[in-house]
Amino acid sequence: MEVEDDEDYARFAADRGDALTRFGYVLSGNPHDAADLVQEALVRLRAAWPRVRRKGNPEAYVRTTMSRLHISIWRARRHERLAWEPPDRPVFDSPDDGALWSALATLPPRQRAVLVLRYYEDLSDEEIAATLKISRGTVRSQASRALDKLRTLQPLGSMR
Amino acid sequence: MNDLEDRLRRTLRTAAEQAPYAPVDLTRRVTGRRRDRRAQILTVAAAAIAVAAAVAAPVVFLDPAPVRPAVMDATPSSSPDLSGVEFPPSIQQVWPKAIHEIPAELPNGRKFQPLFFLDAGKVLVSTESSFEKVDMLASYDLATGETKDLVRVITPANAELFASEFTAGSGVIAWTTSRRAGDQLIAEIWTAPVTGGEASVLGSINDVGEAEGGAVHGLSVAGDSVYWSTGGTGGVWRLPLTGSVPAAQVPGTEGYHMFDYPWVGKPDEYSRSSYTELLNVESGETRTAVGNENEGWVCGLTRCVGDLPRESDGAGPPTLTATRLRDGSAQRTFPALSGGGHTMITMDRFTFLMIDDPGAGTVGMALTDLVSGEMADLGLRPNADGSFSYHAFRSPDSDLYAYALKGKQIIVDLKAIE
Repeated sequence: MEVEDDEDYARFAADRGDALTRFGYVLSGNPHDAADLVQEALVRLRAAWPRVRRKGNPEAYVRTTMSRLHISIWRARRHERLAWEPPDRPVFDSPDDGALWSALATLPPRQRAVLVLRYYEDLSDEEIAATLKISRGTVRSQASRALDKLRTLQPLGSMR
Repeated sequence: MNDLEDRLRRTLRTAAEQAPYAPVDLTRRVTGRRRDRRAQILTVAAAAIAVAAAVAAPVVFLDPAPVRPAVMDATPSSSPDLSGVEFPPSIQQVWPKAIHEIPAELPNGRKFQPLFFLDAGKVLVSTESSFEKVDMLASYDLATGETKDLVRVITPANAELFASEFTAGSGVIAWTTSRRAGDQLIAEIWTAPVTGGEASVLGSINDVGEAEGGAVHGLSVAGDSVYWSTGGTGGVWRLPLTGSVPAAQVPGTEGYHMFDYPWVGKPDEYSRSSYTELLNVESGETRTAVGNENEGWVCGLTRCVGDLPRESDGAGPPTLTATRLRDGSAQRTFPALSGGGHTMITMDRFTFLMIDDPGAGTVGMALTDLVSGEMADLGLRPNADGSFSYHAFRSPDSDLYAYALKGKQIIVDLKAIE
C-alpha cells in the first residue's frame, strides 16, 4: 500500500509538474517563484497524499495550496529573499498584452491571485473565495481594485 | 465581457504557454529525503540567484515587483547608476551600539548562521554539515569571537525535515525534526540544556494527514512547557518540559496558530504576520486589527505596516508606506520608497522598507523602527544581474538580525536599539 502510494504520488508529480509550473508562472509572474510554489505545494501534498488521494482531486489541492502560498508570507520562513529582479519577458502578439503582463507585476499578490483564478482558472467568485479563504465580498473588491489599477496603468491604445 | 478582461485571459494564456518546464528533477526533489523548506541561507545571495536562473533551484524569492514604467524593451542594466538615489543613513551611523561586524567564518573555518541572543553579547549559532542540515549549535561571544560548542544536533534516519524552529527559554534550547515512518510522518520535539549537553527527544507527534504545513509551527518555550501550533486547521499544543505526559491541545485554541507565545492568531498558518485576530492563551485577552484583509498589511502585537492606497489616476505620487496601531489610529507615513518589503514586524517595532529607483527597481533595504520612524540603510545593493536579495526576520520575536556584507557577517542587536 505504501509503495503504491509513493508510486502514485511520484507519477502525479511527474505528470502534472509542467501544468502546475504554468499555473505557478501566471500566479507569480516569474520562473523562480513558479518552481518554488510547485515544489512547496507538492511537498505538502506528499504529507497529505493518502487523504487527498482518497478524496480524489490532488490537482485541486495543489493549486489551492499554491494560491494560498502565493498570497501568504510563507516566503518569510525562508530567509533568503529576492526583492526584485529584472522582469521575465514572454513574447506577446500585441505590445498592449506585453504591457498588461508588466502591469500585473505591480499588483499585490492577493489581487493578482484573484485575477489569475478568475481569468486563467475560470473559477467563480465563490470558488475563489473558498480557495483563498476570503469572503466573496473581498474577492469582488480585490478584483475590482486590481482591474482599476490595470486600467489606470495601461490605458488602451496609449502604450505606443 | 469587456476588453480588459478579454486581454487578461489572452495575456495569461500566452504567458502560460511560455512558462518554463518543471525542473527535470522535480520528482526527486519532492519525493527525496532532502527537504529544502525553511532555507536559512546566509551567504549565497548572488550565487544562489545564478543557480536558480540555471536550474530553478528553490532558493530565491521574488516579491511583487514595484511599480515601474511598463516598457517592454527596456534593457536591464547590469550595474545601475545609483547616484541619483537618496539612501537613508547607514545602519552603522544610525544605531552604532547595536551593530557588530564579525567574520563570516568561525575560528575553526566553518560557516555559521546566527540564530538569536542567548544573553547579552552571546549569540546562538548553528553550523551545517550540508545544505540546511544543522549539525552543531554553539555559543558565539561577539566581543571576543570565542566559540563554544553546545549541542550536537542529530538528524534522524528518514528525515523529511531537518532540525528547524530553533528557540530557547526556561534553560533549554528546543527545535523540531520530522521523519517518515511507513506511511506516517513523525515530528519530534528536541531539547538540550542551554548551557550545553546532549540533545534528547522530549516528545513525538504523529503528523500524518492532518497538518498540510507540517506538525510544528512557531515552537516556543515558556514556563515549564514547550508550545507550538499545527498547520492546516491549527490548534496550539503543549508539552511539559518534564516529558512526563504526552502533548495535549491547549483548550480553546482550535483554529489558532502560533504568533508569539502566549499570543496566537487567526486566520491561518500562512499569515503569521497578518493575523487580524490575536488571542493571549494565558490571559484570554484578544486583539483585532482594522482593514487588514483587504489591504495586505502586516501586524505585530500592537501595530501594523502597509501601503496606503494609490491615487486612482495612476499618475499620483509613488506608493506611500504607513504604520498605525491595530485600531487604525496614530498613523504615520514614511518617505516614498516602496511597499512590499514589510513582510513581518519583529519585536512589535522593526520592519524593512525597500529603497526603490524608478529605473533600476529595488536598490537597497532600510531597517525601519516603526516606533521612532528612524530608517537605516543596511548597505545591501543589487546583485550583478540587477536583482536584489535580502534576509527576512526569522520570527515576530526575533531580537537579532544578521546578514552578510562585503565578506563580513553583520549582527544587529535589535534590543540594543534605544
